[in-house]
Amino acid sequence: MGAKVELRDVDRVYGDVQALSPTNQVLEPGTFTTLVGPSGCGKSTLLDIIAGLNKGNGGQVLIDGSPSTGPRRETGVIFQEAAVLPWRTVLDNTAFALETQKVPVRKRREIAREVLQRVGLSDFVNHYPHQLSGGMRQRVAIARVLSTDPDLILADEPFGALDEQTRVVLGLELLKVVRQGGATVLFVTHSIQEAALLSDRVLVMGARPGKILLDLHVDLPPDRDPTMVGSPVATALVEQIWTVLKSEAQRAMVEQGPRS
Amino acid sequence: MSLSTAVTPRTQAGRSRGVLASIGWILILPAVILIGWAITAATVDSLVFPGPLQSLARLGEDLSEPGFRQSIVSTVTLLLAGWSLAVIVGTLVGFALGLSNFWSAVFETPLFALYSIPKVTLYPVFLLFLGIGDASRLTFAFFHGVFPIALLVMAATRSMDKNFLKLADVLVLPWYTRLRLILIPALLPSIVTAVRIAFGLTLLGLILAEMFSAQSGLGRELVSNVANVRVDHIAGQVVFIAILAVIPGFALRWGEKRITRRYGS
Repeated sequence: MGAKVELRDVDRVYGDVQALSPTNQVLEPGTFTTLVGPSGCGKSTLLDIIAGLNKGNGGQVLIDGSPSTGPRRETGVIFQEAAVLPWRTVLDNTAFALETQKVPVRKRREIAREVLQRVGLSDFVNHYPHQLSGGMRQRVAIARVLSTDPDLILADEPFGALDEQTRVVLGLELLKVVRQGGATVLFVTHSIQEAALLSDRVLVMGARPGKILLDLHVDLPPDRDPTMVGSPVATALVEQIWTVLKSEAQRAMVEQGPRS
Repeated sequence: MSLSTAVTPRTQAGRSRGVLASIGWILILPAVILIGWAITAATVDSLVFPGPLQSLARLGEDLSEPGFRQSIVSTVTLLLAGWSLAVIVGTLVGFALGLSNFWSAVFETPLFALYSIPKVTLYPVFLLFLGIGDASRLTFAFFHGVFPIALLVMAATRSMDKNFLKLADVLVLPWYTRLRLILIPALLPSIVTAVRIAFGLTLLGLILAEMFSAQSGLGRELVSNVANVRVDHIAGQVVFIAILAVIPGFALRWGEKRITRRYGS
């Protein structure tokens, strides 16, 4: 069962810059929420605050009703670049989180093999990360997160460095496997199409100060496929998000003034 | 998605042939030097330019002398002690400084400046404080080896993939697990490189110290031969010191390659 995440007046200031305005949101258990917005709008800051990696200046994060005091083992975090350990095989990378939780070798390898099968890497268990493509390495990182059966998954632009096709395929794979486990997901991206295709809900963020401008429900069937990007629902959603982000971008350009 | 490396099984015989071939390649350069030396010595035909056979014969004589053997034991003991100390202190200092951006910025420039000073100019200071003997030799050798280790480990710690540290944070790892499972394996390739480089520099420092002031040691043997103009003995002992430096150097390089392959990205 997924965790319920509540943000109560959470904000973050860096010097004179309000990176994140006071934010109030609730992520319902088992939902897939995407946070979309331009670079530097505070998406990653918000995600880090929920992960316990960054202490906000004010407000409170409640996870299943308890105030968050720092990182928790039940939360899985997927970084932008696959944080896989180059000296470990795919199997041992996948079992790494379980190893740190003192799960016996046989048990953790059994779980790792099962998770690797779910992400389609069964044939690569004994390979090292340098023998894999970028997309495969990111799948190893996802497998490590899934191995601990987290109730909350936070993904910070995990497919940002990949090409469009691989990104869509991996995004749908991630959606499928998290649906099986029932975890709550917060997925940060700057791709509007990715947001529309993967999510139950899209939060659109604007910069200066970073705040959530739009909260949209995605009215697509739970099982997604790449063709849905062209559906009328997705197209309308993309247009709606784009309209808001375009005016944000224009406002930012006016604030910055002419370059020369 | 493609697989870039295909793993081919190698037979025991194939591996042995590979090792023999690489040893063969390694021996080419010494063989060329030896032949070049013999030809030059024969051409010059001078008392102050002994050939390899003559030099090796003198080395054989030296090796049968208990005093020379005592010098070897003394040098090797101090080398191992100085090198081990340099490795331990250099790694710990480099690691501790590298963990903090502030402290590594504070110490980086002075450490580099100290490293660039020809250390031999500071030797009188060592003699002044530690006197003639093993203490000054050991400290001077250690002084040569510790800086490159500290600088290399500091740079490696600072430039470590920050995602590894973030991973340790999200997995809520205690410091000892973080050290054992992430930091040490991530830094191991840089540490072994530093250890290899420090070996040669520690030996250099030790031989230099022995040449200036010592009751025993290979450096002292060299200097006493210079005073007696025994060029053939000098040449034989230089060959011996070269072997003492080169064989562990090759072994360390081999270990470094294996560790880099295993732990490097």
